Amino acid sequence: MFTSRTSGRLFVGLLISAMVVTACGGTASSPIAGSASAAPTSGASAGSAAPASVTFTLQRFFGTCQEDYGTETDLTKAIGECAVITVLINKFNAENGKGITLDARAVDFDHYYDQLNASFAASDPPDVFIVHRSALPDYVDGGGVGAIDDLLAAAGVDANDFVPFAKDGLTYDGKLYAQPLDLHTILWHMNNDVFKQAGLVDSSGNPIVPKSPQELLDQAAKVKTSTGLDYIANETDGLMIYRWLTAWVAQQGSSLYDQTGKVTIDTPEALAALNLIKDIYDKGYADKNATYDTANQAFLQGKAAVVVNGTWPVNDYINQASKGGLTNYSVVSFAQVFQEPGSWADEHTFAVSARAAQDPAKAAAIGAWFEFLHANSVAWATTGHLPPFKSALASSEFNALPFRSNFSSTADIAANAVAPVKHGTQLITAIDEAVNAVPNGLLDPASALKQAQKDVEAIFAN
Amino acid sequence: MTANSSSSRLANRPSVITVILWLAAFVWVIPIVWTVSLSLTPNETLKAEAVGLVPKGATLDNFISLFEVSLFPRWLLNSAIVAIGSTIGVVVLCSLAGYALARMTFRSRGALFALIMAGVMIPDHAVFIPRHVLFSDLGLSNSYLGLSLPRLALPLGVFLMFQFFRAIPRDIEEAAALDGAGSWTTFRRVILPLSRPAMVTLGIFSFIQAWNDFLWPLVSTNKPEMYTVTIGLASLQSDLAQTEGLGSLMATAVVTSIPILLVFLVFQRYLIEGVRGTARF
Repeated sequence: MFTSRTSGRLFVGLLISAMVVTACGGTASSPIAGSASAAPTSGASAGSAAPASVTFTLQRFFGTCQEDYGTETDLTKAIGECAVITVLINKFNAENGKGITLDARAVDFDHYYDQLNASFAASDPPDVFIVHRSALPDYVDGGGVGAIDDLLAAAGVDANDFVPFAKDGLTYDGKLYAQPLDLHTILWHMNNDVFKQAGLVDSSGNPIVPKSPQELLDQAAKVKTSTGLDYIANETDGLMIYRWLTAWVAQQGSSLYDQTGKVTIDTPEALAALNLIKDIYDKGYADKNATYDTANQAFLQGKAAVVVNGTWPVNDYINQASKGGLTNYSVVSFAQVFQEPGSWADEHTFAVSARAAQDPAKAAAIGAWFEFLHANSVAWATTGHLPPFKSALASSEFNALPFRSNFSSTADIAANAVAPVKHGTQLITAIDEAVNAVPNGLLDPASALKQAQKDVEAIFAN
Repeated sequence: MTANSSSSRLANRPSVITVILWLAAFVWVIPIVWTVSLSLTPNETLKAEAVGLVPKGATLDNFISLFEVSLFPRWLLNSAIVAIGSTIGVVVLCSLAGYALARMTFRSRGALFALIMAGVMIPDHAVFIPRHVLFSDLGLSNSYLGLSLPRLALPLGVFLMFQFFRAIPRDIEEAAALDGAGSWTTFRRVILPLSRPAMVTLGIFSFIQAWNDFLWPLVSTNKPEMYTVTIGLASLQSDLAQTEGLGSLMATAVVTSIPILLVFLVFQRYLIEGVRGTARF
């Protein structure tokens, strides 16, 4: 009965395989093939001494596009965030002349902070990482990031060149904790052809941007009746309604909360703004079920007059303008329909882990990267983002980029819109969840604001 | 027309149930066909129109560009190592534990079984951070061992095997005992061959879980060369990826679902047997 040993061999085989396969751990040490770190970095530039090589890690989002830009160093060939950041890193690695290797790691945007926080929990954070201005206070408070004043000074970067919005939001107890990469905001992206078809253009043929809530609703009605298209394409499952609300609240001289923890969400200003947003959806001027991607697709296919989106896709939209339904594109600051200029804004910044900031060799290498970014700020601004530096904003190179003069003033008007506070990401999520329920009628504006007020107060209290 | 040919035609006519099943299968398969169709359509075409089950201007470019991502083969390999390794581990451990709990008598067996089953009720997220810190302290981040080990504790798998072993008639074990077999020999040479369908069912379940896992590899790895395919592909996505690169995204969906499809095709016979396994005894 037990002459067959097949089963026994099978079992032992399985057991050994399990042990072998699960035990073959160990960190792969090969360089990231095709990535920026693979670029040659030794061989200092002419005239400089050859210092010891140093590598620092950098964690970012914006996607990966190694197959298209793996070794590219020509910034003029890069279109869009992924391409520009990849080429910037390639260029730095190839040309820094100081033996510095920047080992860049891309993480999916939706789970970026999960992984970043996990790496901090495991005491293995990247040396440098992208962090939003709105999220930075948590990392400063937790002691995870180091001050960069000395690092910047040694690298020759003048922090006085940062625009106030950038510098103020990154300074805690008089110390600077991150270098801004950009300043980003939401914009009024328009399909000129739809505006023209609806008769909503001025004598020069430019689309007319609404200046009051009523004018906006009138425009939307006109687009609907004359073209059958939606006036606005906008996601209702992401952060865009929150940003939209923030902008229109700021235009009434208010904000949703301030740096002292005072919560002002359930206010007449916010109610006026949210009621207007609800009107747009209730009257059928926008798709209640749009996601970020379907809203963009609708706009690019010429199926909406306006898309509510940020600075980040400007270059992409311009690039697409000659290829599909969106043949005649323009963009301006987010429509000012209330009394004063105002918008939602945030920043992408580079923070340095406390451990790396204390390592002289790494700090010097990171300083060189920051100096390089400062010098190439306009290259990143080709994506559509605004440079966070006064010199870059005033440069002819930046102002020669299409449409930039239409929205570069956001750098001045965004100052009070969003306060950088602890638990910033949590606060934004709480507001976002409440206000996203409005377009689909799950909550009326007053209830949504009450809920958000209560939730945000609870977060501040804890 | 003869009576025989008439009845034969009637017998060949599909029943109402068959028609309903075919319709259900058709509805179920539409998303898959759509995914394959999109994966074979140029991204530029999909910017204008993404509706339709037949690819317009069929191309393999989306697949070619996927394999041009230098780390993609490495991510596939990582996923394969982790999924196969943890699957083998799960099957071995759950079989041993399930057999011991179902057929052997020892002190505190009931308490041990209850303790293991209590594990089913603890959400993975509740132990996530301490586990991550522990693994990191042990130096297991960015390693195959670190990616695989947490998957080995699968109380549901123990329960599945326990149920299966419990349904095997005791006569079989008694016959083995009469032939001089001890517990280990009985398990290895009698019970294990009989439980192949249940092991395959558990193996498929475990493989799919490990292959599709996102959260643990997300926090357990921060070096691109150690990403599994789910993390690696997510990291590729840039803004407007689903607007401008729908075909590429669908190509990744097709390629990454092939291993799971193969596992099903190869083991489906055992899977069906496993599902009805307890009824056999």
